[in-house]
Order: sequence, then structure tokens, then C-alpha cells
Amino acid sequence: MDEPSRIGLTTTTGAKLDELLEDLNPDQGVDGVRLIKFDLYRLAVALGVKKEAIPLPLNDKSIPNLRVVELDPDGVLYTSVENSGLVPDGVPIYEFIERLAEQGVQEFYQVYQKTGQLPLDDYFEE
Amino acid sequence: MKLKEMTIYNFMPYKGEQKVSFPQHDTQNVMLLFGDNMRGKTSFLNAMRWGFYGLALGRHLRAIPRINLVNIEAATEGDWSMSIALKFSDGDKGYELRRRVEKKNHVSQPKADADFEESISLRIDGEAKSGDIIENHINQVVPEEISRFFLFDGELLQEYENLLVEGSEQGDKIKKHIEQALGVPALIHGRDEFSGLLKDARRVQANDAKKNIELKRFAEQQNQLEIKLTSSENDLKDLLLQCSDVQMKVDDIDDELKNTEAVQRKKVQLEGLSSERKATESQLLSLEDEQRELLKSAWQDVLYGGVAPLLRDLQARRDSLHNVASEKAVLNSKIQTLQKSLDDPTCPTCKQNIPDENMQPIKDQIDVLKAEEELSIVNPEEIRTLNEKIDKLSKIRSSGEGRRLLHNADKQRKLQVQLIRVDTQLDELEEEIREYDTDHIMRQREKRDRLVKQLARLDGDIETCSGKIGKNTKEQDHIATLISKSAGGQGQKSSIRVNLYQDLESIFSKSIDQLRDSLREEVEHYATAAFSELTTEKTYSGLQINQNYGLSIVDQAGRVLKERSAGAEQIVALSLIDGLNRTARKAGPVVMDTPLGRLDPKHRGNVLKYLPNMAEQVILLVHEGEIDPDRDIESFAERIGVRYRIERISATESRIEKSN
Repeated sequence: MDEPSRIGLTTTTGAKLDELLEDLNPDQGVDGVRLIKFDLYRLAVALGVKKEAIPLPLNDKSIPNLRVVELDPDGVLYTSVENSGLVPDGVPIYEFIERLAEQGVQEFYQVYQKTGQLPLDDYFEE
Repeated sequence: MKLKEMTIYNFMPYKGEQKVSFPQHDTQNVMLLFGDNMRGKTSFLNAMRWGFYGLALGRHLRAIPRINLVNIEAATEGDWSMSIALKFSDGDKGYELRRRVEKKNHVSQPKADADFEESISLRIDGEAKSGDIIENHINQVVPEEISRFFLFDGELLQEYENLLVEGSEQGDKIKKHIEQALGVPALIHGRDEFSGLLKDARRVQANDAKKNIELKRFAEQQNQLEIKLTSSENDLKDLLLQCSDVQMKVDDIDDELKNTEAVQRKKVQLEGLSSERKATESQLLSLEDEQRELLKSAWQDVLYGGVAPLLRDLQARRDSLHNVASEKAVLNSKIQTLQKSLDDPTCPTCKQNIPDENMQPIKDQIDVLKAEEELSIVNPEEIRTLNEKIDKLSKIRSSGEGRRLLHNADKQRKLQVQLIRVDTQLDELEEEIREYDTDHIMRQREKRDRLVKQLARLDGDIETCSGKIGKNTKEQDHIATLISKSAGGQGQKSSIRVNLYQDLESIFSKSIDQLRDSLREEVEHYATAAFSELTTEKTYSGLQINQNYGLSIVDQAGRVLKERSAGAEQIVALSLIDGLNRTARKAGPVVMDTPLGRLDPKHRGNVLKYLPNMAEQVILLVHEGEIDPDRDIESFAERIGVRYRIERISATESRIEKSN
């Protein structure tokens, strides 16, 4: 099965991710650790796998601005998703990863808009 | 002297005319005037002081300007006049003293003392006295010098502690007042007058000496010393003026700072909270950084939870495939060995041929083993894929990011709660001090520190200058003696005068010391008597007086107590006042404003029992916190002649009412 070499998010969700990063990161010019798109993208995928989500195909065309070799240099995401048993037949793994990210980022955004923070308790409770 | 009646008109909070009659009975000699703080007790004391001496005292014993003495309400209504009329007796004579001020006709809105006109009248047994001698009459009956001890502000009791501090400026001031009250100034003035006369006499003597060739040199020296003395005296005057000016500034700042003490405390608290806020914010920033750092790799921790069992399955599968491969190899080896027997039917041990009937079971076994071998399918591709997956999934590492993120979030929550608490406190404090210029207060503190340093320098200069004057005077005395004893000067009128004034000045100086010593002994005696009545501690043997009239408590072993409580200080101060009062004059009233402020109930009881015996008339201006009208009065109820109460009409108006 042909795997895409670039994946991304829809325009709307991409904008939401940018907004989220702006809120989570320190103001411009202020020193401190900064999150980048990859960080939240990977987290969204991992959380999707954890809760065994099976997202629907994207309702819009994605902007494939993330190179897979940069996003998943060791193929770890790929292998995890591949072995999760969640990927429907005939769907390339990275396409499924893209769907997980799209859904995960949207959820991050919604909950952040509502509460002003990411629900870390929900995400990481053992 | 016995007070009969005081009529107050428009004085401070007392608007209009208000009359108070003092107790005349020999044993029911106590008058109580109850009033809450800020209602006018001290104004009542000031009304009496102003009536007698034309002076009302505020903080730091500074005169209150006339404009602040006139009742504000009355002044607003256009009545700028005020007066105090006092009726009293001394011996068999009756006195009627009336002091009045009113706005000058041409002044529309008074702004300074000069905008008022003061008039005073005195009648003795109905006969009017002329204005120029009224003051003398008053001073014969109630000398102003002793007013501090019979018109007594209890809130100043703590000032008397300063008498125990050598070199304390306030102590020196009080000492001067005490000596004025005790009559020492009479001798001091005498000595100073002789000093002046001596100075003049020396000058005349020097002029006479100039005419004599032998004494010309002394005359010249005397002139030079005279010039130096005048210059040093001028310097001293100047330094004293500067000192008093600086002290006044310090007092003003102290007043201002005292009023803003609470604000200063809050400002310090505010600064502490601001630092706490900064530290909390900085901790929060660090935690946010740590949170982002953890979020970067948290995805691995999330996957790790799901991947771990998968990884275990994959590893088990791989192990099982490896086992199958091993078993297959073993089977192959067995088959090959057995096949060899078929191909070469010689026993490897005995080298004999294996019989045919024994070959069939070997063939059968080979068939079974081959069947088994065929069933053990190992796909090397599958093993390779499994290895690849295991390798990749093994790269997923967890550093416990999830747990650490939760811990981090918990810390952030706590700090945010702390931040809200600090912010709330900051808002409250800022609101409380919003109206105050706290920077100005801090500047004033710095200014005060500078002024105090300046005072210390001035004190040093004054000491040096006084030393110079003393040395100069000694030299002058020496030269004057040389002139007097010389052949040319002996018998001369000017020399005789110098000798006479030198002797008289010396007599007065010694008398001052003697009088001081005897007065101190007398004050110590009376104060000790009062103290033994007032104190509840029976192991104290009495009081010991120092050069400044400061009193220390002495125990039965004759040791001076180093530390004493606020209550003990007040008892000692009251004993001193009694001692001074009894030493200064033999009879008269005592008016005390808030004398019991810092006393416990037992001491208060003792003081209340003792006060009626302190003077012929005792007028106590008290609040109910000092004397409980229901409880405390019992112990001296039979001594109360009359009771009044100050009723509040408004913030600027009070009325004195007789009460039962």
C-alpha cells in the first residue's frame, strides 16, 4: 500500500493548531521552552491510539506541510498505529495517523477554548 | 488655691457657653469628667491652661494657634470669639479671671494669631485689677512654671522615663520644667545676673588697667579674651537656635510619621507581598517551561502504555518462532542420522550389519520425524518483520512524562491559588494606602535620619563651644585676679567690684547645687511615700532619684531594678508628679487628663484610692476604659464631689453635662 510522504491537517484545524501553540507558548521575545507543531501533532495521534479512536476520513483536503520522515523519523508512530488494530483495511497507516491528528487537535482546541487549559488529568491518569 | 467654677465659651469642641462647678467639700474633693477619646478631655485641660496663662498646648508641648482654638462650628457661623472665665479662691480672697479673644474688626477671615485681639480681666474680691499686674497676681497664686504638674496630661507620663536617660534631649527639657517648678531658676537667674555684672566689671577693670603701664599687657589680654568670649557666646546662641530649629523639624516629621505608622507597616507588607508575587510568578514560569518540555515527549509515554503489551506479544511470537526453528533443526538432525543408518546398515559400535527386520522401525521413525518436520513451518520473513517491529517499538521510551505532568499541574494549581491570595491581599493593601503618598513617607524617614545626624553634630559643636566659653571665662578670671592683686590694681574700685561679683557668682553657683540636692531629696521622699501607696509589689523599698530627677525602683536589698513594665513606669511617673507637686507648693488642685491609661485593675484601684489625697481638689478627666463607672468607683465613691460627662453633639461639637 502506498504511504504518503507528507501529511498535515485541514486548513481549519491547522489554524486551530497555530492558535493553540500561540496560547501555550510564551509571548514572542520571552525566553522559555517552545512547543512546535510536531509536538502537539504526535501527542494527538498517541492519545487517539490510547483511546482507540477510529476517526472518519477528513472532511476537507489536508495541507500536507509535515514531512513524514521528520514527523516520524524512527517509524515509531507508524508501527504503533499499524499494530493498534484500529486501521481499517485499505487505509494507508499515515493517512490514518493524519485522521487521528486532525481529530485530536480539534479536541485540544475545543477543550482549551472552554477551560483555558489542556485536561492533563484526563490524558495522563493511570 | 481652690477652683470654684469655669465658664467656657466657644473653646475648641465646646460651642457656646458651658459651665462647670468644681467640688468645694474638704473630703468629697474629687471631680470626675468622663469622655470618650476625641471628645474633648484634653481640650478641657487646655481650656483651664489657656484661661490662666493664655496658652494651650498640643503635641511636643507646642502652643496651639488661636485660630485652632475657636470652635469651628461657631466660626463657620461667623462667631470668632472665645473666652474662659475662672472663679477661684486663694486664702480668704476670691478671684474672677476672664480671658477672651475675638477677631479684629478689620479682619474678615482670621488666618494667624495676630488677626485676633486678646483681653484679660481680673477681679480680686470684686475689685478690678489693672492689666499690667494681672499676670503677677496669677503667678503668685498659680505660677505658670508649675502648671505642668497640676494641669497634668497623663498621656505624657511616659516622657518621664527620659529622665533616666543621661543626655536625653527630652529628659533635659523636662528637667528644666521641674527646676522651674521647684524654684531653682530664681538662683540660676541670680547667678546669670552676677555673671553679666562680672563681665561688665571685668571690662571696666581692663579699661582701668590700660592706664597703668605694668598692667597694660593684662588689659590687652583681657580685651582679646572678651572679644573671643562674645564671639563664642554668639556662636553658642546660634548653635542653640539651629538645634532647636532642627529638633522642631524632627518633631514635625515624627508627628507625621506617627500618623502614618500603620501606612508604613502596610507599605512594608506590600513590598513583602510584591516580592512573594514575583517569586511565585517566576516559579510558575519555570513550571510552565517544564510542562512544555514534558509535553514534547509525552506522546511516547502515552504510546508506551499501549505498546508495552503489544511488544510483549510480539516478543513472545518471535520466541515461539525461534523455538519452532530450533525444533525443526533438531528433527532434521535426527532424520539425517537415521537416514545414514538406512544408507549404511552397519552398527557404528560393533561394526556388524543391521538385520533387515530391524530396518523397518527406523524407516517408520524417519517417516514420523519427517511428518513432524513438515508441520514445523518457520517463515524467516515473518521473523525479520517481527524483529523490525520489535526494534521500532522498543524505541518508544517512557520517562514517566504523564505522571510528571500531573505533578507539575498540581504544583501550578497550588501556586495559582497562592497567587490569587497574594493578589487579593495586594489589592486590599493598595486600596488601604491609596490615599497616602508612601514615597513621600519614605523620603520623610530618610530626611529624619539626616536631621538626627545633624542634631548629633550640633550637640557636639555646642559642647565644644561651651567648653571654649568655660575655658575663656577661667582665663578671664585668672587675669582679673592678677590685675586685682597687682600693685596697680589693688584697692581700685573696679577690682573690688570684680572680686565681689566673682564671689557672689560662686556663692550662687554653689547654692544652686545645694538647693538642687535638697529638692531632689525632698522629691525622692514624697515620691517614695506615694509609690509605697500606689504599688502592689511590697518587696520594693522605694524610689531613688538621679541628677535629672529620674526615679528608679529600689528593692529591699537596695538594688536598682533594671527593667520595669509600662504599668510600673506609670506608677513611678505618678509618684514623681506627686513628689514634685508636694515639693513645689503646699496646696492646690490637681487636674489630670487620662492618668490611668496603662494600669492593671489592681494598680488602678491603688491609684484611685490615693488620688483624692494627692491634693485639695482632684479633677480627673477619664474615659470609661480607665474608670468603670459601675465597678472602679466603689473604692473611692465617698470622695467624689461631682461628676460630669462630655456628650458628643457632632464631630466638632461636644457638651459637658452633669451626671449622676
